[in-house]
Amino acid sequence: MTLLQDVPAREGTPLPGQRRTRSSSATARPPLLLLVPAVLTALVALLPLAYLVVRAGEQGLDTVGDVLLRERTARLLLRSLTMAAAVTAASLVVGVALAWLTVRSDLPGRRVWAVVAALPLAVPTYVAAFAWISFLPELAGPVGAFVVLTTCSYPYVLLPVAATLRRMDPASEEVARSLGLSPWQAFLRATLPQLRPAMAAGGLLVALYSLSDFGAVSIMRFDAFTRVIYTSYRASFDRTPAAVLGLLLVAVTCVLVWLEGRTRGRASYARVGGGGARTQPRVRLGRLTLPALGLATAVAGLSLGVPVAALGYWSAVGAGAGLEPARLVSAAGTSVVLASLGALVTTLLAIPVGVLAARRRGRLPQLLERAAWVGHALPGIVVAFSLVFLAVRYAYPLYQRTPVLVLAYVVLFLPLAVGAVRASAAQSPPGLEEVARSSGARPLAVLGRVTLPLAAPGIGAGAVLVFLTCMKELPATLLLQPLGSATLATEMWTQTGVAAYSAAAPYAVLLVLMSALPTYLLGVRTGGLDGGRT
Amino acid sequence: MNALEVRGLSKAFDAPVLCGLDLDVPTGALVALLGPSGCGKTTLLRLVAGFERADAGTVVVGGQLVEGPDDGGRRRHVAPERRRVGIVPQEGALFPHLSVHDNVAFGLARSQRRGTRPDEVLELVGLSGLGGRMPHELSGGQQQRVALARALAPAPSLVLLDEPFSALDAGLRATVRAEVRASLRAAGASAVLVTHDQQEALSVADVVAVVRDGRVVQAADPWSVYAQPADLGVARFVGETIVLAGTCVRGAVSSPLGALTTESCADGPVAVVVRPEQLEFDATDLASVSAVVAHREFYGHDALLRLDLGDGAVATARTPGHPLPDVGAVVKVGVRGPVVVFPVT
Repeated sequence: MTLLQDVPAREGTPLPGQRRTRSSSATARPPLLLLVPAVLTALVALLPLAYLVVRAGEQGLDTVGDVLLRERTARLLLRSLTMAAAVTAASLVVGVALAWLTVRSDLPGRRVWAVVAALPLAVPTYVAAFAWISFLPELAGPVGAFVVLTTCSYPYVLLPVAATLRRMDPASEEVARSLGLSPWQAFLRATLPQLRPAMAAGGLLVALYSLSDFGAVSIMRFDAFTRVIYTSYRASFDRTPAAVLGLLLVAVTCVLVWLEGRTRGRASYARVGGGGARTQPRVRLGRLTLPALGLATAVAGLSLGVPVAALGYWSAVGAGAGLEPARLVSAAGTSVVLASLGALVTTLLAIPVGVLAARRRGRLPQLLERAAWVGHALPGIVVAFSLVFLAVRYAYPLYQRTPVLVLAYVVLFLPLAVGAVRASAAQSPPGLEEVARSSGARPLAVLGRVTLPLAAPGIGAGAVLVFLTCMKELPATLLLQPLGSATLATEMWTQTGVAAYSAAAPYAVLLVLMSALPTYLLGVRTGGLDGGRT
Repeated sequence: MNALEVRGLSKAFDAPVLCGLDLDVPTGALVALLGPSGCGKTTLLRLVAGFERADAGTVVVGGQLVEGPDDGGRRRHVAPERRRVGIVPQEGALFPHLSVHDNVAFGLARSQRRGTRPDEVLELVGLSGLGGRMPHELSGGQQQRVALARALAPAPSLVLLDEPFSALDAGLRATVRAEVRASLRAAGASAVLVTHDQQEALSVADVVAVVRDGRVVQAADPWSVYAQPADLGVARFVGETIVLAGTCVRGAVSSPLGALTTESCADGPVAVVVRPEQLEFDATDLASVSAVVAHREFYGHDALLRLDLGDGAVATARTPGHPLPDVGAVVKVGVRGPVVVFPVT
């Protein structure tokens, strides 16, 4: 009875990448030429935080306890967290509403609105704050800070939510409708739950930014953490309170960063099996078209209209009087030089860390990357502050000189650059590097001839991003700028501080224009690359 | 001298993958490593290339020990770039930022990159004149041939091809396979080809090494592997089989298909392995038995007939498509050529 008909077992093609999962070459000892600079970079990134801990602890734990347990500190914490919560809530409402309107509804001109709604991301908070206070001085205080922070940061919610909506399978909403739900119910019960990861990630980013923002709260004279740290540092000889408050702020932001990381991890799980390229039916707004247009217009007016109008008005007013072209040009030059240095050094330091993180698994590369990410949780004011301490005590000749400011930029923006390097290095398949090794190239030659050339466009884009962010950076630049020089941002801040709005306006205009140019070039460049590789 | 000698190679990740594997690649030969996925053939390739370290065993490439204990007894692991082993990965993995010429020249010494060698190798793989193209401007088959040219350019001791044709569509695969085979011969290269495709292994290789559970269970020329498989598993893996219960008495095999010839067999119950194409209908020169056609599948060039041999025994015959007996018809069936038997334990 032993009678079998065997057709030889044919297996399916293995899933791409399946066989590489156990590659032990990824865990082998990384080349020293990458490892040594990466370790040094990680140490540099950790320096301010470490020194802050040392500095706060110097006076003994009692002093630390004193500062922490003051009623004033509790109120400060409550005030800052309330503001962050309010800004986050408002950003969620505005961001989700605009995302839905531009992606899923038949809002007239929704393509234009989609672009306009994301633009406030390019407006530094201190420029927006300047715009508001120059028109409505009585807005100073919590309300002003709230308005400015919300109008500047709601795009952090809008962008991920809009992206998720675009990817989402519209069938779930259709199924809900077919089961008898009204459009609004379908949105609440079928769509909104799928948006939750994107909303959580975006919301936490907003909270993070409103906690670490310095420009808007200072101009609005709202005593948030950053402003209190700044005034405490300026006002008193005893800098321990400032250090302790700085640490407290870092602790709060760390919790947010941790939460954000967690939701981000889940968000990618939630995406599994998401709908593909199906075109989504648009919801007809009908009678709601006008109110929807009204909302979009109002948000655009508050977030873009006011700054543009203020800049235009004060520039026009000031054009006749008080404009000092030489001072303007000098500030612009300083801004460009400092931001270029910051971008260059940050990117160079990010390369070893990013390449290691993309290519090597194991504890050490992971640890190094985490260290580089510390800047993500450190508000600019805290970094600046800790570097001031450090320079004054151990490197006085460098105090208020360019290297310390560049160091601050490195610490603050290393995450941006490492992220860019890592993402672009991870894109090229490891198989390419193995082929290169087999062709006789040593590890360093592989890095120079394969890994880096392939990652170059992404690394370049990262460098431009760092440059832009350095240009707009305010608190660290303010505290650390080289003696006798000023950047566009700090000049603007100084003039706004004495209510010299027409004098401040040209700096703001130039700042916005100069930030826009690299963005534009970046867009053209990446667009061109994409066109070439179809 | 062999281009590659592997002895007792072992490697475990979470579970053992290679368990004391032996393999020889004679100089100038193309050896196909044939096995189901997960049998360890890709791990073997990565160990030979030097991307992984072996737990035990030795690898000798072109007479040079590259993996394993040296004279002093220390384990030696030569870096991939010093092994003179070229690889052709599954999807070609051409450097997207380099032209075809620069891809091919990648492994050459700086002084040679501008010389004639890249063009020579491109000509060898039949792609002269395409040196200026970028990889994305080539078809899949062309990319695969550039990958081969890149591997051949530094004249390596050994070329490793990791399922290089699996990403190509079926129509292209046979053509590219033949071209790659011709190029390897023209270059006089020794090569190992990893594949899970029986036809590919049998049609292209000088030696087929069947890998199972981390070991080479049989390594021989394609005909021997097909006609004289080492065990039932190999027999089933390299082609379609009919397995019948039979008995061996004094060198003669009796089975539901009648008395069959075999090269040698010990007395006792045996599993008889017949290839479907060995069955012939109404052949006057063969001893035949009667069978009923139970089912038929028509493929155009040929057809598969399922035959009921009585007593529950069933055999599948591969037969030319014309003329085809109807289902239910009684046919005379005989077996052409010797069969293979394995004692039943």
